[in-house]
Amino acid sequence: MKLRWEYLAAIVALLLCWWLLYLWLGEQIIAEPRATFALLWEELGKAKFRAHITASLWRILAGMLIALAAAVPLGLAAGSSPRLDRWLRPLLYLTYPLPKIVFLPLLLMLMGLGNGSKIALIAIILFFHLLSSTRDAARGVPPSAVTALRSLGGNAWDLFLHVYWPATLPALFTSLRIATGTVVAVLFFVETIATTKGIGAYIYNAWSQTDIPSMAVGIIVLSLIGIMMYELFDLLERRFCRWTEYR
Amino acid sequence: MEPISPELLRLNGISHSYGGPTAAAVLSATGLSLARGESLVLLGPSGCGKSTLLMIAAGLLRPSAGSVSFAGSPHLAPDPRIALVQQAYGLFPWKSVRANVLLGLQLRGKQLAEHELERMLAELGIEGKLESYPGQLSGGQQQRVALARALLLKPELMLLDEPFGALDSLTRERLQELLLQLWRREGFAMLTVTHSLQEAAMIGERILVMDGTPGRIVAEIGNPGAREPGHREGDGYMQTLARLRQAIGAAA
Repeated sequence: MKLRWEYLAAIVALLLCWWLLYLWLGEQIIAEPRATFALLWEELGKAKFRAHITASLWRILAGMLIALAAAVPLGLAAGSSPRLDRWLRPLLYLTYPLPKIVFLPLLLMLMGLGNGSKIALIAIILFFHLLSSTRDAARGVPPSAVTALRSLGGNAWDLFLHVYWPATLPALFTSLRIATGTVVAVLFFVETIATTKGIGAYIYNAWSQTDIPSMAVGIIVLSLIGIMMYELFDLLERRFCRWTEYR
Repeated sequence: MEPISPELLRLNGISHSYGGPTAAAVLSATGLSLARGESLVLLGPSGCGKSTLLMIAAGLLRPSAGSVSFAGSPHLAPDPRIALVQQAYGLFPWKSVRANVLLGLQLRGKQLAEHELERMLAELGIEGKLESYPGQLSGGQQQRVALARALLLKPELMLLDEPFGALDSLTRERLQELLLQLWRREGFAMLTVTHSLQEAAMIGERILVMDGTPGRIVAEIGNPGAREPGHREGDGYMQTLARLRQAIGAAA
């Protein structure tokens, strides 16, 4: 299991860096690693802390599902239909580079301070990532595959089911992996605004009280959420896109 | 009962241009007919419109002008009695060999007994590859899978677009022999597009030489010996090759 050893080596290297930073900068800025893990263990035993994690996970999951449901069909349709793409492309090119995070005040006014606005922002940011990659992947489907499916008697639905969807799945997983960091960053940002539940809020509260160990605990949990998402997409890709190993 | 017409496919006065009437034509007033069980080859250089003609015959492309009939009826869409084999194999890399081979039947709501599938694959020399992905196979094996998928549909007409063009010469000859064996036994008609003189002389009972832009048929050469086993070693093959060279030289 070479990969596991490499993983372990990376974790050891990161912990070593953390330890060295702690020694260099002191506990006023960097939390002591062993004490942080002890605090993390203690916090995980508390229902209140677990509620923070659940709130964050729910926002990510809901935002992701909404983005997937909206972006994938539209991306597949645009990538497979030049006529639709002609209309969508300018819209995509004009809106993709916009920093969507600046729309948070507008979303807060429209949807209030609850979960809705936070989930909406995560969904909007992820939507553009997924739409762009799904569209590009669908455009890259080899014409021979489309011809083959049509010659076998396949209709438009068969084309999506047997050609466009499986052909674009690897790009979709890549896009989800790339977006993981952005999603976690956005989650942190939205949870620092008028929020009582969520790991972002937990970190923000710890920061405002200069509680460095709690802040570190929050950062570890947020990082673990990101790593779990990344690994999950990797696992799903290995499960559903086994053919990519033989490309 | 009406007698079955010996003519299977007819293309009349076919012209085609991609991108509307103002675009340059790739085919001009071209026609052909193909009898049941016959092997017809379209031979010509790249860009003469022979693949376009094949796509029109497959019902995958509507010609800008002209008419197409299959088995006596107008033919404007893919037909379950027609199978297509492409140069790039047309396999789905994301599906296993089993799923690739069975997809045509699945889309037509048909099923196949496992032993029949295994027999077919064994005959084509790809037994034991059912769970592999196309990316794990050589070019020759991929083309055998494409042939298996087409043959399982029990077509009346097999359309082959540069079927062995991407293969090395040894594999190409083996697959040409295999295709001829299957054609003689199964009795389907074949319309093959190729730019190889040797391939045309090997598998075509009739060879239509195409040339020009827009493409048109410039010569027709009979090659009845193609149906006979051992044709490649006979004088007929060499004579056909010579006539093809002559026709191409005259066209140029």
